[in-house]
Amino acid sequence: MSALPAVDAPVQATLDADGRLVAADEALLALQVEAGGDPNGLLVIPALAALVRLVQRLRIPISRGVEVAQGETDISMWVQLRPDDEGMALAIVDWQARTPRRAPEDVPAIHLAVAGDEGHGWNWQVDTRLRFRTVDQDAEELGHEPPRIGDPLTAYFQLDTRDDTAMPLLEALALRLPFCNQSAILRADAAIAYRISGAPLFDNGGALMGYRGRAVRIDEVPAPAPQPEAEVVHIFGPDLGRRLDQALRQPLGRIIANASTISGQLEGPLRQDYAEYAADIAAAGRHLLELVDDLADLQAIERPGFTTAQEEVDLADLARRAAGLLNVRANARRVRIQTPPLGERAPARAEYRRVLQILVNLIGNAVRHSPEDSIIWVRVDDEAGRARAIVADQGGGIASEDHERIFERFERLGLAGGEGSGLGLYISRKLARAMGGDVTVDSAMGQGARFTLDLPGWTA
Amino acid sequence: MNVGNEPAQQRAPGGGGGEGGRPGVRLFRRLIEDVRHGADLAQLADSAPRRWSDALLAETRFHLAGMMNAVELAIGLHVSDARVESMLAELGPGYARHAIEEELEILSPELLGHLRRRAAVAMLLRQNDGSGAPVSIAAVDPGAGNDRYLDALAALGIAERRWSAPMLLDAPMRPDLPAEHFHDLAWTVAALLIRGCEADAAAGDQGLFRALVQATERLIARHDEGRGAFALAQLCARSLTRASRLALAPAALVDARLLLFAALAEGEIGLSIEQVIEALIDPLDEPRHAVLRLMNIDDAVAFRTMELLAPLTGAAARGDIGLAEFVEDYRLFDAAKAVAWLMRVSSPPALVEKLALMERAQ
Repeated sequence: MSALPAVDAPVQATLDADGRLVAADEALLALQVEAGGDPNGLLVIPALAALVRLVQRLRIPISRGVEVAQGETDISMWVQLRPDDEGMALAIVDWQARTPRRAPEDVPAIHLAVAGDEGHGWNWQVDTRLRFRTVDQDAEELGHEPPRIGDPLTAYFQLDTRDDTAMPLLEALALRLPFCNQSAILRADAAIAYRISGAPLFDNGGALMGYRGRAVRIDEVPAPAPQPEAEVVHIFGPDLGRRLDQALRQPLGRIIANASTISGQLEGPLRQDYAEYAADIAAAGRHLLELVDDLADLQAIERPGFTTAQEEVDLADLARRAAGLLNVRANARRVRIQTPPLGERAPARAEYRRVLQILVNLIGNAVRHSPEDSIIWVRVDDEAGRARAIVADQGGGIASEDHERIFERFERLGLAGGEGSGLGLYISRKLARAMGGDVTVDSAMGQGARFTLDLPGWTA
Repeated sequence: MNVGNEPAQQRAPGGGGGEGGRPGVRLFRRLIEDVRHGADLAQLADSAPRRWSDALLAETRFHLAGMMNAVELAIGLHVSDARVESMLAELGPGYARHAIEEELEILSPELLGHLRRRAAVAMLLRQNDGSGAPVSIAAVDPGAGNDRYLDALAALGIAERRWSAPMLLDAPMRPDLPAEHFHDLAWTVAALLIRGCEADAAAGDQGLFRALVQATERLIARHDEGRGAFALAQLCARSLTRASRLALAPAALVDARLLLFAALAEGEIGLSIEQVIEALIDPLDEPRHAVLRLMNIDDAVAFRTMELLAPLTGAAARGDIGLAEFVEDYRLFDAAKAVAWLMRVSSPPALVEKLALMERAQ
């Protein structure tokens, strides 16, 4: 919701004991008339009238925010209403015209954003049978007849099927996925061409409710400048990471939750071996989920133009948080994580969540490789414009010839079958380098390992 | 330790068991019953097993007692009849807060629901050393808002410090309540004082009645809900741009400033400030996940939030495992689920109620 210019001076009015306007500033009078009220009649603006009734009933001053609809905009106002001997004194001390609050389904997190389509075209929504449910523009705005509600999308648009080109809409519909760049022409006028993009809508139970999207006319707007084909080195193809993420995250979550419930015997007692099977399933599910997370990260950081935010982060604070996240796992292995003492700081210029991710990976690895009853030290220092976090463990150590190899993709040095995806250190180093730093290791066989996250220091 | 809503699970504060006639036991029982009626029914959460923790109950009592002390004091100051003044003096200070323990049903469930949310806000502030420190929040986005924002932020910090003062039940606390709740509390105190004075005077003493009614009316007419912490938090939030609201939201959570966060979320997701607080302290994780996801809160801040809320939600009993699972589940709780939750709670209350009834019947 974007704030539009506000009315600075307080808007004032006086009302009699029945709630009739005795006098009012122009802005309020305009609202009153627009709401169908008389300039000297009962205040009829619904939100304000409700406050008037409250004051009449309780005889108590009111001071609170309300929203009033005015045509295409909402007015957010802070209203003070005070009863007096003659009636009530009303003052609106903060008057902001705003674009109307979006309905929940338009929350930005799921708002369809198709590169290059912002600001053009019109919105549509269809049900599961691709029949139009809503269209946000009329014939005058479109320059041609809009679709009628209830008509099938395919009866309105002729989808482009030339030369066996892909049919993004149909493929997406089959897979319940978003789509973009579906070319189409109007059946009523073949000279009018559109590019259609959309995203699926799901109900609370996960069932498909339809699609919502945007149609952009391409026969009259200049085509977007062709983007140079980026040199992308995708290990699984450009989209697989995202699709894996979408396809696997939810079912894996369910598997983990159900298996955890069974292994925890929360629904009743169970044979011990069955409970253990369920625990194995939950552990395997978590491992797969980590892999999905890693793949999603991998795809993000290998995308051309990947950048990180540059904000002030405190490595000591992040180290304590990362250790806190891993305490459960460490306790289970009887490993103690010693973190920088409270009060110690090591300010760095980096992205908060990425640094946390790196430290979770480094400390997580240390927990994984540490023997029982050992200690992991996490230290920070801040010197010569660099900030460093050091994670040292008492594990078996890493041979010098493997020091670089462990940072390669899918390298799972010394890990048993189900542990680690082999991507953690690779991703951590990539992230650190993207932030102007690095992750390095110092270790020898039998002497534990010491990983250092080095980042630019924060200078105000 | 948490206390369930079921009468069989209820435990008297201070370890007193059984159906003892002590006011504390009755207060406890009635608080539970009334709040279950007011808050649980309103939210259709009667299956929620752990709505009140001991700490939350103690905090609620502290606020209720402190504000009743203040209202009682103020009514006494507004009484202009010397005879009634001396009758009030006879009752002694803090009469109303003791008497309410015998008459708890005269408080409205709405007021108790509000006190519960207020107590939750105060409990979080107590957990954080920097409670009510406006400086840290102002520093997050120095260019945010305007003078009104900074004034409200400073006033909010002061109000929050008052809420997290040492828990002395005999001390007065500024009754900075929304108008409806203040109105309810003021007449409650007035009724208790009239009943108390009548015990020593003839019942139906019109002079006494008139004097206390006039004093209470004067007090109510002077109330300014705009100076209350809820209103100040809303004033802060409404003076910010959307970008600033989203930037400040995680900082507010990290600083344990639930009220400020709720006000920022109110402007962003359209639920009322009270609904946002209810969602955050709900025994179930779904509302919490949804509000945090809708506000773009990252995993680390979500973890910190859950850590702070654990004593309120019952998650404290599960220790680190509960916190880790909360974050794991949060990562799986995507925006679409958050929006589905928002749509559900934004639906007409009657519809939500019917759907919940049907769900429970299955």
